[in-house]
Amino acid sequence: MMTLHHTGILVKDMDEAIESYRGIFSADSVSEKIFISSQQVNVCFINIQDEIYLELVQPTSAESPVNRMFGKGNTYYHIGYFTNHFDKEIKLLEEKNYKLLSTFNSEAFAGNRCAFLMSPVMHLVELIEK
Amino acid sequence: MQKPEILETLNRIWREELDNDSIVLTDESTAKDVEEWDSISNIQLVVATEKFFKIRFTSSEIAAFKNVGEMVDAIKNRIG
Repeated sequence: MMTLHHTGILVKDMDEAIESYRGIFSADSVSEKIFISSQQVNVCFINIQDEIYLELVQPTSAESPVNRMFGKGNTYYHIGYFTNHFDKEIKLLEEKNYKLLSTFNSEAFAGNRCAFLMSPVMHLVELIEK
Repeated sequence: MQKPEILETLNRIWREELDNDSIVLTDESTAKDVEEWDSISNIQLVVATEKFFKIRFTSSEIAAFKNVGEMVDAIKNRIG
């Protein structure tokens, strides 16, 4: 079973984006900035409701795989789900013709495994091992 | 469909999906040869190819393709 954790949003200026959300949500809803080395991005979580977050994602180098999203004008670009059955969920999604893009250990989730998969209609999802 | 026709079809798909009419694929072509071809658009290309040929590739098959020629071979094996 997958439970919603966050929606990923690309930002060019993390501090400016954080400030824009501080005006809407309380100051303690904003996490520290976390560098995800394998993805070459900084992320920051905004707790918008219960345990549901916005994940602000800022590429930190030209090699970051998310850079090209900017070129397409996308900002909201993925939905992240927690799962207790990481390998099983990947297999189930692959049976639905989702394509596995990458797996990595994320500094944002205590080193737990994460995976990006693309749906057959090109919607990007992230699985996070709980 | 023979391999040259498959390659020609892939060339058309690549041009349409990447919105670049100057793309000319060969059996040796890789993502390094086409500026717009990255890990995200690679999936877009594979999905468009699957739809056209009415086949499916697993994630491990996609990861194993070293160049366009290997994809052409795999398509040829599937469609006969």
